[in-house]
Amino acid sequence: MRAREWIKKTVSVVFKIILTVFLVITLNRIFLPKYVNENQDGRITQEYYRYAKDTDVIFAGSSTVHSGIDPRVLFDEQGISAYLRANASQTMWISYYMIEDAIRCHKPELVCIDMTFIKYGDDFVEEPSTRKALDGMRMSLSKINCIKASMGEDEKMADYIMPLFRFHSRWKELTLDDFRYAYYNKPVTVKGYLPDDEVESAEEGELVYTREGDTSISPKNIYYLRKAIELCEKNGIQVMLFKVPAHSSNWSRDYDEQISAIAAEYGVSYINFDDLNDDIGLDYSTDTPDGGSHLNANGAVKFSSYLGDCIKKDYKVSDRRR
Amino acid sequence: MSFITIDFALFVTAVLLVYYIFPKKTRWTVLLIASYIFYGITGITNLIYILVTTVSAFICAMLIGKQGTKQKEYLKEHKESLTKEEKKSYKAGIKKKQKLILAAGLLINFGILVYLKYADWTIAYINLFRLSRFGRTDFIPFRNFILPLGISFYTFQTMGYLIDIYYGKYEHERNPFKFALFVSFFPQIVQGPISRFGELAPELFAEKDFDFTRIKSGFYRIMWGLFKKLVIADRLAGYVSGTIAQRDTYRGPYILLAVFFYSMQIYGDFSGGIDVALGVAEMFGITLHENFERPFFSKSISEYWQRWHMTLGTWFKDYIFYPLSLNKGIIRLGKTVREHGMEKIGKRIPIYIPMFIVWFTTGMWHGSQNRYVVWGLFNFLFIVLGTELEPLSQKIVLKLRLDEGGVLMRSYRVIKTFWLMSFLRIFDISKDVPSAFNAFKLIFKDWGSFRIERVFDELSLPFEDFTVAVTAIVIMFVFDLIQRRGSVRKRIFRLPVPAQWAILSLLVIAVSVFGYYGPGYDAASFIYGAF
Repeated sequence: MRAREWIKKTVSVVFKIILTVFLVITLNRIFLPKYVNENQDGRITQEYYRYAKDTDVIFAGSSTVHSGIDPRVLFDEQGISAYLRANASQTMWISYYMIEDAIRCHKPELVCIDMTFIKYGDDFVEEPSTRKALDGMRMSLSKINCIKASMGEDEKMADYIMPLFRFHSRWKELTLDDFRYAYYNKPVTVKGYLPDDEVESAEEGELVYTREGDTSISPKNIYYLRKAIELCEKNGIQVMLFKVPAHSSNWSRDYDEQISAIAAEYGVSYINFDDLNDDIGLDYSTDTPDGGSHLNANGAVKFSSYLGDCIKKDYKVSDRRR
Repeated sequence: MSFITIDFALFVTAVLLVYYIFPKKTRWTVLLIASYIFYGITGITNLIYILVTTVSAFICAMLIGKQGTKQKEYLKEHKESLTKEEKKSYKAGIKKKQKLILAAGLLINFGILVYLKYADWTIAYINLFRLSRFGRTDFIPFRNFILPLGISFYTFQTMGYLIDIYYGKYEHERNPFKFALFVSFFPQIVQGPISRFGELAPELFAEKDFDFTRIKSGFYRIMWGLFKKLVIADRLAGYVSGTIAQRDTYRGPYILLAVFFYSMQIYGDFSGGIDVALGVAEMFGITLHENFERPFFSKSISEYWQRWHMTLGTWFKDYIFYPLSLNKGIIRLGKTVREHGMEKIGKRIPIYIPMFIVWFTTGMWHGSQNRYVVWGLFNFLFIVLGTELEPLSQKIVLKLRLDEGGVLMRSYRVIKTFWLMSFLRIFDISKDVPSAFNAFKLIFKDWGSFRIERVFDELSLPFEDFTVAVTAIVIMFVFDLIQRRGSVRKRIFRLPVPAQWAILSLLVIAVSVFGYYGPGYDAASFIYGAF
């Protein structure tokens, strides 16, 4: 009799716990912005897990990557299976944890880290971008550490762990999509790539870097860049440092020098593809959606084709077409 | 650490775990350490203030107690040898010493409170006086003190204890650490209730078993408090402050609505906070004194004040009103007036003079600004008028053949009291006394220009929030009505488990979803700015 009561009580407690957990998870999923019809860059992190096991090359970086590299071209031309873990305004520390999280899921053969965003300082905080990068990340120690490294002074860890606390005020604007996509993840990116068909020509003339002021890379950026390279080294993963081509003067040769020095220290290569615009065949009157800051779909095809060649030539990466 | 933060929730959870792991006998030490950690987080300097209060009150109470023991022993020893006169004289000597010790304790503690709270208020008046009288413009700079968290509450509570010891109500606490816990018990230090030692000490130091029902019950109460605070009070705050600040643009019904909403806001905020405090204490097996008893159902202002912030009201009654009513000077004054043929006035003097002082002090307690004093004095005036006009009111009721106990009269009295108290709160939301009178005047203007859409579109209360606020207010009143027939939680606990679970889930969802907290979500800000 006593045993039966005990079992009954235990079952009841377990049932209540399961129901509570389900309710909490569901509420969090409902209220999290879905990024399906707008702000689709918010889906990049989450959709990675769908392809993780078949990914050989990870690209980490910011918006220049997710708009400038087309994984379909890499696959069609070189058989490279890549995923772009690159979100808008993604800092080096987020890139580091994106790599750490990716390795946790499946060890890639090559990690390519874009340097475009390294020019921003340690105090760079942009909550919407951090949220879009992290809300889709699965819960792990990497995520916790990434939140710690990325959140601003006014933000709270609890808001990241329980997105409901951050997004509860969306109750006014919930749509059917919020319920439909609470558990169903409709892919909206092309393995992290978000093609942009817009065209807004850049100013004509030779690209000249004009970034002024302090052009030394901040300590936090350097720390996480080194950490990323060391993590890959430790796991036997090849590393490539690069800068996605753009027609933007917001850069300095000082950055190239500092990055090259770090790259040399670890024996990895660094390529600033701005220097290879002509070889790539980029035409900034047609290949950019915003006057040269990013590449559009046209530019992405050209750059991806060139990049694929470089990777195939210099790194050992499986050909998945076979 | 605010009650409505995750940090507080984690803190309480951690303290609860440690509390119930510790042996029953020593559990109060966990509360003491937790209370000091909680208070220390608000600022290390704040700890100095609370320590001064604790140490000074402990020593004073001990000295008063020792004088009492000394008297007892002396009288026992010299029982036979002393004459009645000698005994009386000895007792008077002891009482005088005790009075001196009490005065020292009160002076130190109220001195700190008054200095911190009213220094700038006094300086402003000194500067004004110097300027108007002597034309001096070398103003004394303001001190800009930041009040230590809950100083008014713990000072009142501790001084109440000291006065009780003086009157011999109970023995002084001999353990300084236990006394320190009485002063600093963390759930009640932020906004009360103001407890009495005789009630709180047995609760704090009793050895209680772990009781899951109490944890559950406390949690319900916390969630209910958060519902009132986050879903109602914080949602209405923007409309209230915005309307009062722009009262020249939004007149008439806009202000009236603000006055109504402010009553809901202050009740939701204050009673919600008290619910959290009482709920947290309940989880530790400690029952604190209730501070609200459905005040909006009061039929007179006097009754209202017996049901709103009850522990402050009884504090003023016990420690200011009664001692002043029994003050020889005031009684003598009443007698003199009566002897001069003013029987009615003379009779009222021992009541109205202490009442006037109580309301003046209550006003001052609420804030160091003139508008609070005026607010307090208006309360006094309304109570006096209510009392004095009661016979007339009774006559009218009789003449109109109305049923005093009927629904109509009861509703009339409840509504009248509610609106009188709500109008008085204009002093609370206005920046000064003239602004308050101005806001009151503007209630009667521009009634024709009212458009509800302007409330939604221009005054921080969009239609959806308005709907949620009104629905939540209705729920709060329904809850209050049900509560008249006994504890709502006890009723819930009698329901089948799934129903209990559903109610709690709904409450938690209501608070977490409809609560007015956090930075809000603006989809546009999530659109990538293309760095």
